Amino acid sequence: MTIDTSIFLSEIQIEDKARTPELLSSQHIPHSSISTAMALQGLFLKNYGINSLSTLSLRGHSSSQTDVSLDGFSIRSNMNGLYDFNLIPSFLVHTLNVAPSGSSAGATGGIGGEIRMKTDNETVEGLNISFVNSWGYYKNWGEYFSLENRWKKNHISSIKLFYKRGQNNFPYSDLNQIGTPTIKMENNAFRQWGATQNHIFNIKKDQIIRLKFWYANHHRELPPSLTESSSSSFQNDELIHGILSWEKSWNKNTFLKWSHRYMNEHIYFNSPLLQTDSRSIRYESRLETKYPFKKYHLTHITLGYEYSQARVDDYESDVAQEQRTYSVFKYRWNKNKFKTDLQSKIEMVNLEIQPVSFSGSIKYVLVSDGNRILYVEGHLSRNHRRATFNDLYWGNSAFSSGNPNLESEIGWKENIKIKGSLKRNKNQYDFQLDFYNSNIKNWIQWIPDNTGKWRPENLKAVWNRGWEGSFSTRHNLSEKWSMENSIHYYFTRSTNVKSSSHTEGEQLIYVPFHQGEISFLLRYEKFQMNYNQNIIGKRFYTTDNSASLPFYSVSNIFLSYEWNKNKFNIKPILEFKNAFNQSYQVVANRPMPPFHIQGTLIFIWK
Amino acid sequence: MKSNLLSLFILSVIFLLTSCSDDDNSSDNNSNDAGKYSKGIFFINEGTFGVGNGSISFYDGSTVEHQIFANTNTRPLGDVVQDLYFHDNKGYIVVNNSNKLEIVNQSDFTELATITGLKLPRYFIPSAPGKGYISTWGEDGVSGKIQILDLETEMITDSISTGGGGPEKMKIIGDKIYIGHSGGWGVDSVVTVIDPFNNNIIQTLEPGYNPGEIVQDALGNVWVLSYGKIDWVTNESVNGRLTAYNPQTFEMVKDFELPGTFPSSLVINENGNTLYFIFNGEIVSQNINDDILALNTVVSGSYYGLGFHDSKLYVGDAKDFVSEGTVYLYEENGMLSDSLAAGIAPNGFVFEN
Repeated sequence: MTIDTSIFLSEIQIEDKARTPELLSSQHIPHSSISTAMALQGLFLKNYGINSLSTLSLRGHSSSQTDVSLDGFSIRSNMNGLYDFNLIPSFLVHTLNVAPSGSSAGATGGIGGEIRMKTDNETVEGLNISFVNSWGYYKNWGEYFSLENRWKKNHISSIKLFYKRGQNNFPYSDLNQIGTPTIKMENNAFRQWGATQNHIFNIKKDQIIRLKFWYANHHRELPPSLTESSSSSFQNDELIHGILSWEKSWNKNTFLKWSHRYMNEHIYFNSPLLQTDSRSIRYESRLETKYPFKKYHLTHITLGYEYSQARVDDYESDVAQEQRTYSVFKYRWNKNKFKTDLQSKIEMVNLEIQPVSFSGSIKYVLVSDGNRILYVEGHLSRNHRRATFNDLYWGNSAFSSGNPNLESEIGWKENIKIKGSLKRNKNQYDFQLDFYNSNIKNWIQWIPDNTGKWRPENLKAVWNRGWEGSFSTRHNLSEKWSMENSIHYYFTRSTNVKSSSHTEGEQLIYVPFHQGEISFLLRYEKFQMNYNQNIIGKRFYTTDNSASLPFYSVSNIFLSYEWNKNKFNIKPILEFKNAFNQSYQVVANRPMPPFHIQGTLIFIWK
Repeated sequence: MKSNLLSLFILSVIFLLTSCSDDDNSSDNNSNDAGKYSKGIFFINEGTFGVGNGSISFYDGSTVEHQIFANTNTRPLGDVVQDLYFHDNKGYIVVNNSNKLEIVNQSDFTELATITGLKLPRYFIPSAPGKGYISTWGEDGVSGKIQILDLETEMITDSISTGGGGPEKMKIIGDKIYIGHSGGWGVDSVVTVIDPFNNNIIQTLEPGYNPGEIVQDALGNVWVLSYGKIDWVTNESVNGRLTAYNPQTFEMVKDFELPGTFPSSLVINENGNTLYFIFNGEIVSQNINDDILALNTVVSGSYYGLGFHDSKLYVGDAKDFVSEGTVYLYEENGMLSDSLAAGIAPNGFVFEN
């Protein structure tokens, strides 16, 4: 079993997927980025290289159509609509939930689903002090410190600090040069540090105040692609995020909550050709109440307001700003074997009404007893995504221009799944099958005109469909031995269906048809060995599907041992990454690292 | 004095042969070895910016063969293929965003050398015997130079600071080299005329903002297409221009203001009497003898590359720049005669007879 402390990302839960066994994987290693942890769950991240931009797109949707929230508030950039998962070590996140069909109240633009991250650990009992040191190939090194405490009964606090850096000068074969020489990656170093602080005050028996603060600072060099001879570019990212909330509860299902967040994002990009300084601030206030009536009915109403501003040199007027108000009404009817959820959302941006979003789901439990669960669930939703600030307000220049006349993307999604679990003797089996379909119109894409000037247009209509299957088992072989296995498979067909386009019927770029993951864990007392293999199918990188990157399969092996004495706990972890030294690219001409080893030593005092 | 005269004679012979070349990007092979790629039409496919899938396609009159560099040398050509020039049985391929020049054997396209370290190179042209010019925009995109390549040692030996920003296309006319300065990422307004023997600037012309394209007509006049400019802060613009000069006196003989900005891809027909270029995406023509701007629309649509060969216009359609393009062949009267598959973003053509 893993150590119970919030320095570990305790779970990555992927909705619509069989329960993930408690595998020892990167998600349990504090220095791993969220990007790495999710990739080990079989998700495909468009990764430009170790420590470079890494974005997630779900079920054929674009990464800007996948919302990312931190403690309930969207942190996706309002400038480019993206969130870079290489910017966060899993050390800072307590739980991560991947919801391909979900879109929560505060979310905006989650046509393709939502990634929900939480920093809370409200189960802390007493004092925990943790220190983590990691080191690895290519001069990677990191230190992490965490202190959590429950001060009497009415105050829980935690503070986390981290610093990591690396050269990432791994060797690769340069196909672009005569003789394909092996050379070292250059201009690929990074330096990252940050801190979080969370406080939970039970000011009265029925009232809680939460205060959360997050700071992350990231400097990274941007390496050349295989077709560039050199690069001296770099980028600095800085994020400040704070939340203050007050909650009064009458019972489990009745509460009134007010929360306010502040977010400050700063991105500085520097290359010999271009220097851009982009800053944005966001304030958001939200009032929500949950109230049950009669026996089986539950309502949840949210009212929110957000002020969002971005200051970018390249914008038409240097500063762009929007005011967003929204109201969300949720209704749940839960009786016997049925559970029904309905949700509608009305939004206004700068007093202009946005397309209405709504969703509905129904779940029916076929079997449920102590050892067996089997249910089916259907889901239907309509969502929209407003164009980003860059799309709308980018200034007119010789090379690019925004388009203030862009319409919002509109997406319809349907999916149906069947999920089951069976416990027999000392064994447990979980499975799930999920079929989905979605149609998006007004898909926004930047395209160049005949002079090479780029501009966003509502260019495409896209049809996504596919299925996902997973199966996992858990076996207690004896008192000392146990074993866990899992296999996941994803099939995605994602095509442009706009008849006026020359790429009609072709698979979207960087959407693999096939992807999967296999994991195997063997545990003997306090020793664990985990084998994980990811398989990502062919990805096209031209819209007419005339060129593609081949499939790749990367294996990782993790070994760990846990040693406990009194209140002291030591856990060494050894990772063998890309264990069979595969040469591969996730994105064209961006080489990924070969076999390398990472070591981690964790000290915990409880 | 004698050696200067001898050199001048040799240079004149080279330039005479060069002026017989019939393509837009020019080439000069005076003794082609027989080989697969010795004669035919080459499409320069820029590729998607940042992806590194630029390529060269070869059309032998019946079929198109794609990726001839990558297929021959089992490595990609690079990012943003800007130019191809054949000289002395070698092909010089300028790869802009890869900051390099690839040199291949023309007959079979096998790799000979890679010149790296160039800063945003644009075009190549042979200059004095054994030398070649490479126009570059420089690392910052506005302070470029002409780099001088020794064609024997295949090393950069010197450079010329032309004083103008963003040296672009170059054209050998007579015993001089005309260089348009399109400003790179900035703005400029000059064409410099260089004596390739001593690399000195002998004349500076000012046809309009951002002159980038140069051809010579049947009367010997030098036509310059200037892109114009837009002040993106105030949105004030200065239109492009089409200007002709007498190469003997450097006197301006014609000058037309275009009704808009950013024309591109100036070519001239084999008779040397009709100019073609892309304006607002369309292919337009202008007779060299007209005293007023006619801008006859020859082909409607939105196109990216243009060439002229054997009484046909070769028109490159880049589509969305992320998929394979198409090359359309039009008669001079605008009638479509054929269409051919191309690589990604076909931006130019080289015709080898």
